Amino acid sequence: MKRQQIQQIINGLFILMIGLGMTGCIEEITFDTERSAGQLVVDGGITDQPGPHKLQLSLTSGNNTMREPVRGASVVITDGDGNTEDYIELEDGTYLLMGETVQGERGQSYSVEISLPDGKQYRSVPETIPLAVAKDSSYFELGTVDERQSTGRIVERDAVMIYADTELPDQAEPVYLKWEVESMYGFRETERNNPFNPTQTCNLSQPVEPQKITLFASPDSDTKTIEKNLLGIKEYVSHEFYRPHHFSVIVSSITESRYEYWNQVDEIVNSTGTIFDVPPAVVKGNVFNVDDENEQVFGYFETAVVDTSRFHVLRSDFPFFIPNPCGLNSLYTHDACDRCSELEE
Amino acid sequence: MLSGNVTDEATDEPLHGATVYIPELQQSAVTDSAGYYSITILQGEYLVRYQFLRMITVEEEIIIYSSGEFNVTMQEQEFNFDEIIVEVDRFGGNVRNVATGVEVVTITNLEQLPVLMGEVNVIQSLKSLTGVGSVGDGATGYNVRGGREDQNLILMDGAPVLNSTHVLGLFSIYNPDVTESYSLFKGHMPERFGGHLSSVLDVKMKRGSDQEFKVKGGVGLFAGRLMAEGPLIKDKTTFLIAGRTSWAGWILNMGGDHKHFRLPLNPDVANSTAGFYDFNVKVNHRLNPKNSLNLSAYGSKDDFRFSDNFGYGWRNRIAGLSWRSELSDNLFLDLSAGANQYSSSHFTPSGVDAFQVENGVGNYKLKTHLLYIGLDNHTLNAGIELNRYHNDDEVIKPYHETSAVAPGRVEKDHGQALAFYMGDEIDITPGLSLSLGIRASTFSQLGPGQVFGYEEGMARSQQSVTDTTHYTAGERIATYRHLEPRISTRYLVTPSSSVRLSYNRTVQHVHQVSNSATSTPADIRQPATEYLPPQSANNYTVGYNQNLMDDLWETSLELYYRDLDNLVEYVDFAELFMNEHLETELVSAKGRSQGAEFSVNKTAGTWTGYLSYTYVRTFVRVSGEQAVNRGEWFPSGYDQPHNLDLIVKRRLGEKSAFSFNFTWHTGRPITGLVSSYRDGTTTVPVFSDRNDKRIPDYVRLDISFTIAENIWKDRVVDPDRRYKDTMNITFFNVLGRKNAFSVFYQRPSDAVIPKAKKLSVLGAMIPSVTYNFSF
Repeated sequence: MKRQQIQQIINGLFILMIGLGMTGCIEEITFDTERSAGQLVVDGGITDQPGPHKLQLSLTSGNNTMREPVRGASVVITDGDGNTEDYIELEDGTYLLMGETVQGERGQSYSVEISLPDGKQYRSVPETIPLAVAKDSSYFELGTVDERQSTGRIVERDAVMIYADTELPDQAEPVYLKWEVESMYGFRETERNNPFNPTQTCNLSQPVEPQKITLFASPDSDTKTIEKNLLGIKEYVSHEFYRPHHFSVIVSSITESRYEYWNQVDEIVNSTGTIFDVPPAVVKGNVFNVDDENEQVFGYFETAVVDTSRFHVLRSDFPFFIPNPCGLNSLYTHDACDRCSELEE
Repeated sequence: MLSGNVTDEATDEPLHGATVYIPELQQSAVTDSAGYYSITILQGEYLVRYQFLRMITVEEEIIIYSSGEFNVTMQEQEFNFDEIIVEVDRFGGNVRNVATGVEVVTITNLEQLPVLMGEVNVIQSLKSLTGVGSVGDGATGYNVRGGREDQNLILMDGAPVLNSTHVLGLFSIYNPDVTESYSLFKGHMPERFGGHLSSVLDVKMKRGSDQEFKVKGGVGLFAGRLMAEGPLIKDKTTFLIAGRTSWAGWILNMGGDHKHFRLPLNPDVANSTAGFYDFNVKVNHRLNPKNSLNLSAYGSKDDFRFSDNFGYGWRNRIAGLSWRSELSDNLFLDLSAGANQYSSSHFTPSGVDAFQVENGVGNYKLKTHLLYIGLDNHTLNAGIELNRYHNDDEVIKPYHETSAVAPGRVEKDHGQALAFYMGDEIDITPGLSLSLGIRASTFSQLGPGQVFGYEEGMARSQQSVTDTTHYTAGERIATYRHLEPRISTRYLVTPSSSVRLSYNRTVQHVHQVSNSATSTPADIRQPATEYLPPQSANNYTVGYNQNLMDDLWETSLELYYRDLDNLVEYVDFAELFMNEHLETELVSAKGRSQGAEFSVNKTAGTWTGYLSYTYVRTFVRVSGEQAVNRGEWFPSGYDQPHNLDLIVKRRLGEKSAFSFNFTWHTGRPITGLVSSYRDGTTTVPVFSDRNDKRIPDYVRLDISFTIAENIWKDRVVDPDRRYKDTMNITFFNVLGRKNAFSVFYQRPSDAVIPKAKKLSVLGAMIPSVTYNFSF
């Protein structure tokens, strides 16, 4: 074979190979979801705080977004002493425990019985409100987060970093904690001078990083205080910080089984995304069908002790000037400034 | 009865597996490890054909008056470039095999078939056979009859192999220039093999030439190889040394920020690395005409990193030493020692929790095998085999300086297996043969180690630990004993058709535990413990073979059923790495596998080909306190019902060929993301039952051209020319299909629930060209 011929073949194939892009790749795939619809979801519980306590009942749907409320169910709570109280159906799928007979007490156990209109009966495994109460001291620091743009470029964004210092109760029993952060802010829409569509002032409340699950288990640690625990990051958006922005940090002292539940949720929600991840599975809650233990029921009836700490962030806390983002003469007007009521919904 | 010995003329070594065939009677026999054969025929005059891999076929006219011996010496064929034969079974042809579950299709020239990455890949080629499959490109092994990868015993000159692939299956560890032959037993497993449930792949490596110094090699786009062989001491000692390395990583790196130019690769690929090197050394020494020594060694190192997502590294160090002795005219001894030290690591190279986990396992083996052929119509064998399994401590360390991962170390378990076996192959009548064997094995979990006690009646968990018992080095912790009968029979219905039945019991003492959707080079090898007993299987097979048109067409149909016990499954949310309570994450499961395999093989002519179709279902059940899927049977991770392979080859001249290969199999089961619900402010994803969904089907078409010198018109062909060359051009995955290797879940920063991500290792057509030479 002539050397030139070999060279030509090799060159051609080499170019063909790289032209086609010798590509391993990662692509999104979907699965059929027909068989996943119509399963009961229980979302609620009882705490040591005065009521009312909310419980939501819904059915899963296959499209991942819709939530089908369960109406007309009968929900009864029973405490460890045998006291019972019926929940009141407030709106579609939302039931309220007013706390007239049954109140949340530390050390007391609780369970709910749910009867659906189709006759199916469900019950939660009795769980006790822990004795432990953890005290938070929450605060913020200004920082930055990296944001990867579609071009692949990384841009730094200003952000509010939310921290808590937590003092653990001095007791022998294990302590299991979970944190959540909520934020509330207001802004006034851009003046429209339209009597038929008057300008509104909004007060918006939303969770901060709801998929970030921050947990603590005392058996895994020998510390008595948790310091500078980063609970969430709120990215700076002009219209959200022009007026005072309020943050609430809620620490819940939960049961061990509820802690395990959240641990598993964390594993599937925040998996690192490699083939070494723990294989996914259904997270089992504590509610079951009385007549069919094999029926999958999602969610959890939680018993918890909660403590809330608050702080607020003013625009003067930022090291830069924040103009009114919805002002008439603003150079830049945030698109939220015209859809206040839409956001409130 | 006609009997005798078949030996290699050059080395005087017995030829194991040579076929002795009498066309007139369509009757055959195969030589054993001592080169001995026997065949029962009536008086008369016959043409007897002796055939063996790479040897010139010998045909002799023999007149039979009474029982007698006829010895044959065979000469090596003149150079036949890189021809490799995968002999799935050479024990007498597809119709006359006593064993069931043995493929009779012989792929006689792998190099003329489509080859991935431009190099003959034996492991890849095995996947075309009935009942042999794979979960996809990138898998580190193969699956036989729905079994897991670790259920296959893989040997290299008798030494155990724990990972038979390079670069996640893109290359095999068997250098084609060094490999002599392969035998795959996937139904009836001879009693001399044990320790694995599904199959045995027995690979013999080539000996160095004792005639002259030779060099062979090949250069491709992704890898190159070089082999040298020759005599060290005339008529006494030969050597063979070979090495391979890949430069795929260099090509991939050119997609990054290269100083001079940049290839248009996608960023994931440009940030990836893949590479390996390996070497073989073999020395044969003939002590005297009846005794010989054989030393074989192999070493390799692999690195694979996929972008910033994940990576693996692994090393094989394999060595084997054997002594073969003819103790008398009828008694032969084979004494061998083998070792494999396998170490692996897996890592996530980016993020605040970037880590690297390292594992290592050693398998050390001693074996004595005796063969006795002194009784008419009987071939007796017996032996002892000792296997020692030693696991290194599992170690985790931060991948880089800024990683928050804390270093750690977990002590692993060790074990030892001792087996005695004996068997007899009996020719009851010329048409009816019976193979009877028994293997008695004992396995012990050995210290040092600690065993946790768990509260009775409760699921094993770290919370239910009641006590800890410590064991010193070598102390027996748990012991298991098993009897493994191996029975197979064959009845010749006509000279060209036969029926076979077999029953085998097999036991596996070491579990392979995978933490991902598919097995990986970093899977944990867990010897059986008090909580995780050895796996066992009962294999039942019935087969029918029919040859047509004077063996031009071979057809085969086999039905089988396998029930399995003590398989290892993981509990939901199992944490398998760096876990000293591994038994809390694993549960014993029952399994069953059943299927039908059909194949048609056209063996000669300008057009040859092989069509195979397998229908197989494999299920698992985990019941009890840690039941999976409510204790119901569910598809195992390797349940791929439909498997179709078609190989067609068209000869072009004497040595050139065009061929294509088409593969289709059902996608493997996986746990799918199907819904979500809200718990407070958190959205919780809902996954299906385990293995309730499937990844897309695997479809691949490859084409290949092998070009030999005689088709180049402007070349002067000199038959005495020492330097010879050829070229293979392959287009692998012509359809460019992105077949899945694995599926994992990742939550985009702007989403509340994870998305299922399919990782395709080969996402496009891969052309390759390899230039092969020898002198």
